[in-house]
Amino acid sequence: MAEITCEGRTTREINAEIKRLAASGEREIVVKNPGARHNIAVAVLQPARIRIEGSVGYFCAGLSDGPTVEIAGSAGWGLAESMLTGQIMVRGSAGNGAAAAIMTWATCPGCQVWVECTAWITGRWECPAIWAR
Amino acid sequence: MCGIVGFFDRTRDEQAEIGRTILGMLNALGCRGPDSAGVALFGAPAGRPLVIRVKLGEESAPAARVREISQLVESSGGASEFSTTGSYVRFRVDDKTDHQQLAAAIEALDPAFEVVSIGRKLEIVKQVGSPANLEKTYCVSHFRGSHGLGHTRLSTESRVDLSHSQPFWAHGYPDLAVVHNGHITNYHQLRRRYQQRQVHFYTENDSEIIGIYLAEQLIKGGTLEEALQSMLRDLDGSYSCLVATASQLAFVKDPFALKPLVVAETDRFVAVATEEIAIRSAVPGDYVVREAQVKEVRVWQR
Repeated sequence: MAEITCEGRTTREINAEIKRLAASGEREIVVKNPGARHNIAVAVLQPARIRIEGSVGYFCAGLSDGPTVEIAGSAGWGLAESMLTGQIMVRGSAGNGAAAAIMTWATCPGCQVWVECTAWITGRWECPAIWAR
Repeated sequence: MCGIVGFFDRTRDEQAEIGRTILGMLNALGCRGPDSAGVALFGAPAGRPLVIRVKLGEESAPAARVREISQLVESSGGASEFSTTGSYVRFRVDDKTDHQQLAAAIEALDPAFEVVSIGRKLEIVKQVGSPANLEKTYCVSHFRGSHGLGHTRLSTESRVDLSHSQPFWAHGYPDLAVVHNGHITNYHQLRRRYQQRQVHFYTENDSEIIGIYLAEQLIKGGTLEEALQSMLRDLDGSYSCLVATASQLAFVKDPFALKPLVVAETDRFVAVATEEIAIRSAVPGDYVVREAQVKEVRVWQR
């Protein structure tokens, strides 16, 4: 298991570290003190398990292909946008546009986004919200 | 876009570092609104009871113009703590002063003059540029009080200048301030109706009408909660909106829930913001942040 502390680092540095660890074969990555920052864990292309200990901002885990991301808090807008494959679990709420443009079942089985509290979907709140393709 | 923040101290501390907290929250939302930044802060009373803040112009005004205001104020009952900082003149007047008449007389001196806030606790400071610049000019972080609002603006429908910046004071109604993220789509219709009743509009910013509307409801005798509930019916569009009075902080979220808003509530404080990062970066401690729900109205009272 590898740990990354967000404090004192730019988002670019955090994401580079997540990708470096995932590419080196690390199976379990814990991200501490995310502070509801935007763009955390974007474009991770390996099947690593990433646990984010707190809330994240916009576009978390977007453009990803393979990872399992657990968010121990809430997510802002555009969670898991354009994900190819992978699993996203949010223990809190998700903002507008969660799971937008995740790939279809026919091309990519195994895309899953799960929100424990509330998410805003096409004009209403859902609780819990699940997208599985 | 736009970013809005609100913070409400629940420890009954009238000397909380409200300026520092609101500024910290705003700094996190600077990128949502690079056009202008502003705060509405509610402080503890001292000296003469009514604080008046006047915008002199987009920049600052020559000393002669400031003297005109001070002479006018002296002739209408006197003032204390008369000071000039940046684009503003600030002073305190007695309870008995007819503040509406005084405001009208000041604004008649020069078309650039605008009374931006009057209140027993309320003080509004706003300007074009970032929250960091606001701090540089006005030392917002030194302000102590009980609660406050903040706004960073990305203009989408009206010009970028000090008057069009937020927060908006509900002109004529002491201590009522509003910040808004969104669009009021029946603004022009409502504006025409108000103008037929001689209501003066200072800007072409649709957010200005929220304060006018709420003041009207409160003058009719409704509570703030009732006013915000009827706002859901009467104002169309998308809005996440924060409202503060001398003793309350409140929010309303529109029937489409198009604009983001998150809320953290503990025994010590209430913090509301467009993005969670604003709360996390300015308010230490362990607490839950939740998303405001569609058509939700909340009012917190001191």
